[in-house]
Amino acid sequence: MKGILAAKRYSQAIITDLDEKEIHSILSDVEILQSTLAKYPEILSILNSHLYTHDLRLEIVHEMSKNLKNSKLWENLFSILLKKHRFIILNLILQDMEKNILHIKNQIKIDMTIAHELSKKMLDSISKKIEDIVKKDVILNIKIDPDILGGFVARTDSMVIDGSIKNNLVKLLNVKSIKQ
Amino acid sequence: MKIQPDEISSILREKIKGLKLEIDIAETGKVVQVGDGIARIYGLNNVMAGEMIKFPGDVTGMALNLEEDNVGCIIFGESEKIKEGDIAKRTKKILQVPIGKALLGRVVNALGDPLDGKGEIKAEDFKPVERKALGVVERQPVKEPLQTGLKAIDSMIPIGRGQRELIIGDRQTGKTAIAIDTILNQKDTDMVCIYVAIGQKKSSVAKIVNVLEEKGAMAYTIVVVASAAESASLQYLAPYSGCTIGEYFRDKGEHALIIYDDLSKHAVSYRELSLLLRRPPGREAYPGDVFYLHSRLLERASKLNDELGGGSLTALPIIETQADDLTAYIPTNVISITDGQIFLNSRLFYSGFRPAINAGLSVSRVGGNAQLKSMKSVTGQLRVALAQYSELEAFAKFGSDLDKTTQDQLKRGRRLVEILKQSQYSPLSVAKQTFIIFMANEGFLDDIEIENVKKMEEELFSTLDSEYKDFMKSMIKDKLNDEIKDAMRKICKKVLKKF
Repeated sequence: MKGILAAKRYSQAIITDLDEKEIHSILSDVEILQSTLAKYPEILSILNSHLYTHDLRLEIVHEMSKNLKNSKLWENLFSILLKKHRFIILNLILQDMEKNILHIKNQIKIDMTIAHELSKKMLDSISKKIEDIVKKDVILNIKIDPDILGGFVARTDSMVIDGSIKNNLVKLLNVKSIKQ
Repeated sequence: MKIQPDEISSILREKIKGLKLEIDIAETGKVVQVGDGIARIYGLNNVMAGEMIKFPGDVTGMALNLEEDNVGCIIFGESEKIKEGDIAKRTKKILQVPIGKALLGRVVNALGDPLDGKGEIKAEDFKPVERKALGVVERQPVKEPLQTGLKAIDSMIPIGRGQRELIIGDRQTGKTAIAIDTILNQKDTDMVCIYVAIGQKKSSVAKIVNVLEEKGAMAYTIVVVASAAESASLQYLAPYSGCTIGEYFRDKGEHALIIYDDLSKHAVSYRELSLLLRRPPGREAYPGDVFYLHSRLLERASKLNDELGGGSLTALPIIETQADDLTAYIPTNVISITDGQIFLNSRLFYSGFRPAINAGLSVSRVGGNAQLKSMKSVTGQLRVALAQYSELEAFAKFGSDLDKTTQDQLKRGRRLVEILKQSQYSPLSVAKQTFIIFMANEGFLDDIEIENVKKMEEELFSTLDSEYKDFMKSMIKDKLNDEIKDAMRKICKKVLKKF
């Protein structure tokens, strides 16, 4: 919980006062960092470990930030996180930054579960329906789960849109409704 | 009940035919911490204070703490089913309980779910458990009496409909007995009773329900139970649920009586919740809003004005003291909120004076206006005589040579004390109460041995029941005038002849 709060503060501090151009480049940096950390999760443990000297860890973060578009900004952030021994919350900071940048761009990332592969036309129509509900442009992250039988379940951080056949059948089979 | 597969499949077929696919949209958060009946949820940014939250496994909770980064939520039911990372859904509804006449005769939990195995309750409606108490304009002063059937209370500490009268005393002093007797006395009246058991043993509640059933009182009674085995959250909620159920009758222009047994345990359960929610502890580790906890509950008891139907909700909260200490935190709070208190004393209880009401420390601040005129005309004298007796009794212990007046006063006092004794589950009508007090006030009992006062009383009541039914009905209609008094004296003399 404390981690989330701290991550929010860092993310807010970075995003404030960014112009539109910088926002785009930061978002691409965030995506690169997220995919790298997902691929090599041990990086975080190393950077958070006292077994390695501070200088060595500084060297690593320097190398990490070199290839990013906003290298100076990231290097500064990483050195503060190193100094404060807070590298463990880097993932949370990146998540929050992504969410905030998408919010500025009036976009939202949605994890959508469907029962089986759908045609592009069908996906577009679902996406349109969700856009009408959330009033934002939707970036879909599709997952297939036959358990929901049909329809879709869309999840964001703070919302669940459940249009699955499973949910409708559960409601239908509700004991109270049979009694009626 | 036989299950017929054909019937079920035809119902299902019909349902599927008419199925209209719906999309459910719910605001959600993630459970980040759960334990001790409390959950902390990350997200739920727009949640309202007191809103119902749904957890997986059909577990319900209520948002209580809206903090900067999380929502503190109390869980009703099995918190073991909830785990970290679970999705918590908003319902956009403040916690509600079922209301309606269907609840009469039922035993329900704090959420209004039946506990008596008598099947589903067909509620007329659902209402929020937390409702704002009515304003000044919607109310009117207490003016109708609520008869408890107990001589000591109806005569000296009268309760009016819409009043809040605290019953306070140590453990095992007969607090619940007074409440139960009051419920029993509402038989054949227009009063609906709600008994809220908070933090009590299930066996004690079962015993009470049994008594109410045996005496035919369950027909007009609803029992709301949050026993000691239930979570602190349910114990905290129970009185508010009971009050919402009672308000339904009041708002319809009917009369309801609600008993909170007891608010000390309610305060303890709220303290537990508050400490778990990390609210700052204050005196005796109770949170700062423990006064508001009870004041907002008891303020909901009221007598509505005539435009709103004139219904009433009378509250009898119970508080358990430790070693007769009325100055503890919760007792002083509730004393100051209520319109009077009935103080039960363990010394009186063990010396055989039951109900063990300490007349000196008990008071009814508004009930006097509601007392029947007939009763009022005998109680003034009773109070004075009792006060004189208690003063003289203490004085008489130091010396044996007392003048005749003092001896007479002591004699009268002893008999008055004797007639105020009353056994459990035997409430009396106002007429009988008025009659026996009148008899003692007039000195008819002065020459009767103390041991025979009870017998004399029984004789009087049986004579009244058999020979003076109509007179009894007419005598309580108005103030006791000379004509009625003369008639009463004649009856007294007639009964006395048998001794």
